[in-house]
Amino acid sequence: MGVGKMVPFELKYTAEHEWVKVEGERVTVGITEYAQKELGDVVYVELPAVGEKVKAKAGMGSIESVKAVSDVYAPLTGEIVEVNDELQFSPELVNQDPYGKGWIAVIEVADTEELKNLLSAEAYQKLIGGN
Amino acid sequence: MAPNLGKKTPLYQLCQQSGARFTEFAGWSMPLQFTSILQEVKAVRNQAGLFDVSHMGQLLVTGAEATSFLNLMLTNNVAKARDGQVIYTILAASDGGAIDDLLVYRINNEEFLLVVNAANTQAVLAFLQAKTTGFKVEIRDYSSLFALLALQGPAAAAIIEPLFPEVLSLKPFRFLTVLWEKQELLISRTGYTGEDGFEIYTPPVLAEALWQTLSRIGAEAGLAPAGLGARDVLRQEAGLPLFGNELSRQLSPLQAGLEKFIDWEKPDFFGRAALLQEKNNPALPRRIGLITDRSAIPRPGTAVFWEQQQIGQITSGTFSPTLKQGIGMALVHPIPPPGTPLALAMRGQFYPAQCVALPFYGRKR
Repeated sequence: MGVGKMVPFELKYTAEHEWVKVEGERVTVGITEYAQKELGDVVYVELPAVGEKVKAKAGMGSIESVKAVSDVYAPLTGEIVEVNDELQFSPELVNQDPYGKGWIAVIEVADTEELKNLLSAEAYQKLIGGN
Repeated sequence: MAPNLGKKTPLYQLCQQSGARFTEFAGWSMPLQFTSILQEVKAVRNQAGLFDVSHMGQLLVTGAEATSFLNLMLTNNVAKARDGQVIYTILAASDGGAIDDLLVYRINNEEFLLVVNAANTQAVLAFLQAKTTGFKVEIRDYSSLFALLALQGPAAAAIIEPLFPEVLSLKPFRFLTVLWEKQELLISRTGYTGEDGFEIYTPPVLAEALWQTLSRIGAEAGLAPAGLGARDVLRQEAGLPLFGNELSRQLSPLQAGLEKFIDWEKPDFFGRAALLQEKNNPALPRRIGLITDRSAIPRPGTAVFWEQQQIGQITSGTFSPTLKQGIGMALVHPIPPPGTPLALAMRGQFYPAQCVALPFYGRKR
């Protein structure tokens, strides 16, 4: 079904279509190619604040597309240590480069044990109906 | 990607080959977008867009008493229309609620083509059919005899000219028939985008060839295929109601702000008594427009507040690519004047909005 169903092997995923790049206790979070395609044109990203404490599976922001608004969920419990300010001026980066310049935030994870709850690339690909 | 359910228009395959994403709408698989809603809206506002709207229903009403019959059924006055004119009207139920909003093409006083919403075709047909007793009138469902292409945008006239030069003389809401490939097409200067444009009713067998011909001619002028996603944004910017959102069995034409399409001078028409009563009801909720920041785009169902009181809810809302802000229509009472600061309750908090006059966007003439 095309590139929309190909997911970067080195990342972890959630069932809510966030991707997670793990670098020790710091994890970078964004939404997947599949999610950006489903949302359509992104026109605004509500970012969490640096220093904000987030809980796994709780909302940490939202994305307004032309069609609908969607929550962004924190994949892990921890503290926001960085956000992608670029998205305030160029929300379309989420569409154009979801795994790169469209990243949303960096979380410092409270308990790395939680990483086990994330989906592998293979499991996520299965979830979205890819091969 | 979800499987494509629903009926397919004569342009389905062509749209699929052009890379369209489909959505199910009123029982049809319709193109939602070809590239992106933002790009398609931009094309229609600045150059032109080509839409497949073949899902729309067509009913042919004929007979010696077609004019008097339709005038008793519809809120607007088809007797006042000229041959070759299109009028917008509501079909109201006896309680004043809307059964559909539709375009009436007056071919002559004994022949009218009604263009109805896809989801309502059978309901309108059944409603009218049941009322024909005693009238010299016949109603036929012509929906499967037409594919419908909408060519919309400031470049629409220049694009259609080489093919059908005679349509350039059409004023808004006028139509004529032309011959193409030995078959008759009906072309009207109408649309649902707030731009100049044409709607072309063609026999299904010619639909693909016509789409391809227009696409080829229009390529240089920036013509882009456009889907229902862009169409919905464009009609909202133009302040046009959508049946099911601003108008429904529960929402009357008065609530939708469509009184100018009701001819009170007609002695009678379906729903007249109930609508007249509504007209005199000072507490009747009505449709307003409001704008927001792009961080708080209004969505259907959102509660609207005026000075801490909920006054109603959003019926349609979207990001407006043309105005670069959130826009929404709401059904409210009391009615705030344009300029009034309002608030929208979303995600557990209040977001500022401002009441504005409709339409949000009007083209420069």
